[in-house]
Amino acid sequence: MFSTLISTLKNRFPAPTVQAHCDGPCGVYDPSSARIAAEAVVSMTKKILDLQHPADDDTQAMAAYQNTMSRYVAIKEEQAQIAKDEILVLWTDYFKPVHLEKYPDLHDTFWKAAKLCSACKVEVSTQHCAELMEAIQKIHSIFWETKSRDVAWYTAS
Amino acid sequence: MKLKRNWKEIGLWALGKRWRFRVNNNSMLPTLKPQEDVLVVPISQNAPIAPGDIVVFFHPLRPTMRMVKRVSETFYDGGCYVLSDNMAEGSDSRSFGVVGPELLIGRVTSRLI
Repeated sequence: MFSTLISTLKNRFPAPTVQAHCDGPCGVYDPSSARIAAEAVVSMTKKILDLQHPADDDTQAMAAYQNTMSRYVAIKEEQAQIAKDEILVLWTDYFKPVHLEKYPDLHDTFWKAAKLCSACKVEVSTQHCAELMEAIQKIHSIFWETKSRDVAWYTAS
Repeated sequence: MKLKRNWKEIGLWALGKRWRFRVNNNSMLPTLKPQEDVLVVPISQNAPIAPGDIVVFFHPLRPTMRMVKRVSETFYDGGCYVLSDNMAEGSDSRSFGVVGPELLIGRVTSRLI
């Protein structure tokens, strides 16, 4: 009786709320967003390397070449940054000290993956792109293992 | 580290000396349940916070969001490092870092009813 009265009053005059959580608080994390951005980086790196340089006296073709090349470079830069941001969010927000006990190389894995994003952003290196995809695949398997779910690795391209 | 009901605090609340806040979400389980009301005393020079206290503060990265967490360490400047009681849920100083003294609102003293 007393407690019903109190809870009615409590709901009638609500107190300001304090969050015992935050971050949205949606809690939705998925390494696939990093994977998609990284795939775009891989694709752009390949396209940059494959783009044929036109003859020097063909002004029109040269303009088209320069235009396409700068677009490829811009997209590569942008997507590498997105991949890095996504990786950092997983690292700092999703993973907790309990995970570190089970995966002692967690920090090293993320640190190297973030560094690879920077390397792919700065360079035109298929070698580093391949290493980045491997790093993200590793993060993918650790991530889904912590959720006790068997999610197979796949790529869009 | 259970938070008890304290009638003296409830009396002080009735006199307007304490603030009432409602807890949202699960990160302070088992100490604080969602939708539970707590009483808070404003932070003052006379009653500094200590490790183990539960505090209400503004999120360092989202100044409009009030948070409730447990203090794990305090620093000479009045700032503190806060953690969730329910380690699996919620982000705390592990993700947003140290809470500066200017962000602290108050210390939780009692539950209401």
